Amino acid sequence: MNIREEYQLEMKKVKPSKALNDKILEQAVLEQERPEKKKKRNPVFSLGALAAAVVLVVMIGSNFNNIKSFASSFWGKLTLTTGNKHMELDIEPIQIDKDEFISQEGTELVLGSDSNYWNTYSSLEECEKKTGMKLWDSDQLSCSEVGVVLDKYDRGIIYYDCKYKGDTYKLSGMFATKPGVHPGYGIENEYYKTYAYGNGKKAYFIITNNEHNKADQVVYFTANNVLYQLGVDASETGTKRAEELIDIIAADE
Amino acid sequence: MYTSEEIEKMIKQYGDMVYRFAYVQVKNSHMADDIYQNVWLRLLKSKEKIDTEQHLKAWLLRTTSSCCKDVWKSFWYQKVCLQPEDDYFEEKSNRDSLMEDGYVTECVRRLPEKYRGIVHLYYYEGYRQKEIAELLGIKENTVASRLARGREKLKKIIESDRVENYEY
Repeated sequence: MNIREEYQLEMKKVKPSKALNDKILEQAVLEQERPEKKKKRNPVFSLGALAAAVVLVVMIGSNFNNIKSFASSFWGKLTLTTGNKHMELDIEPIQIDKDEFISQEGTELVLGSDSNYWNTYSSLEECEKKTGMKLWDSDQLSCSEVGVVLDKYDRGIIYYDCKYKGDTYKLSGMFATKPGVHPGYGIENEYYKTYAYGNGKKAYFIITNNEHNKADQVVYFTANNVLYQLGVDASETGTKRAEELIDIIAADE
Repeated sequence: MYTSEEIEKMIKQYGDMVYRFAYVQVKNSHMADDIYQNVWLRLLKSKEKIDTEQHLKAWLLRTTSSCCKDVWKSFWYQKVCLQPEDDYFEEKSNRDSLMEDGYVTECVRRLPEKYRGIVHLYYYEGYRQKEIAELLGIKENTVASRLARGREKLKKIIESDRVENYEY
């Protein structure tokens, strides 16, 4: 058997749905019909309007995640916002040599507005070695591939999957890479429970719906100066697993 | 800016290529759908038209690759994706089941993230290392080492399943 031929035969079955293509074409028609904005705005007016919009959005407590994230940074607090509650986070910037990161073999510039630099490592150890980040070390958890993204705003993202007791859990962490940068984050749902770990820290449990419209929960916690997001089942077992994972990942806190 | 007729023509010509490239790099058809849509929306919103067919193809593949790497954003800026990686092989969505991935496709999708795209472009699209490097905007040496490691890992995955007689 030739692997290339077999792969090509299999792949021919993979196609976008007609509904998906129709949706894109519908959008294309709408874009085409939209009148082009040619009127040049007064820059002072634009700036004023922007500032007013930001203040208004913050005042009315918008649920829009990106705006809340921005608001957290704007006020200079390291905060996590869930619903109407704001929690200050005890995390410091992780100073990564960005130039060195960019020059590493395998680092790619991801096209897009944020100019993100992306690389992956085969293990946490390799990630620590290449980035200087301090992560966790445990025999109870195994972690396969670690992705790191640095953006032009001196923020970083780390993501990886952990295998624990036969299940796989996704973790995504957000951090700052320079002093004065605050990776605040907001989510519309309020937390329904907290879990105390480490030296007086708290993890926040939030019920949400996943892409299959089933209830799941997301847990936010900090470890090694990273604000983590962990997804688990909305069940007693899921909650217990999350607590165990937090204790392992934040063992040094 | 492209007209809807031009977009329709391009989707007919390159839609499957874009979708397949996205599908092999992410975990399920929902994510592939999102990426596919984002790629065409980016093209739709681009102010200047891409001059040649070759450049358009390269742009589509490179943008798809970028969109796949931006998947981490879904954790923080979109709906939270809680589908564990291994669940892909256990609980496929209806769409995935309909597509009924073949064995080799599943094996390629089991490769680490950074190898999947390159292995796909090599085996499916038939590109050479130099072409892949130009398409994705990365160094040829990086493509060569990833392709070699990717193929090696693919072989190990297939051998660990005790499937033999494949020519790589």
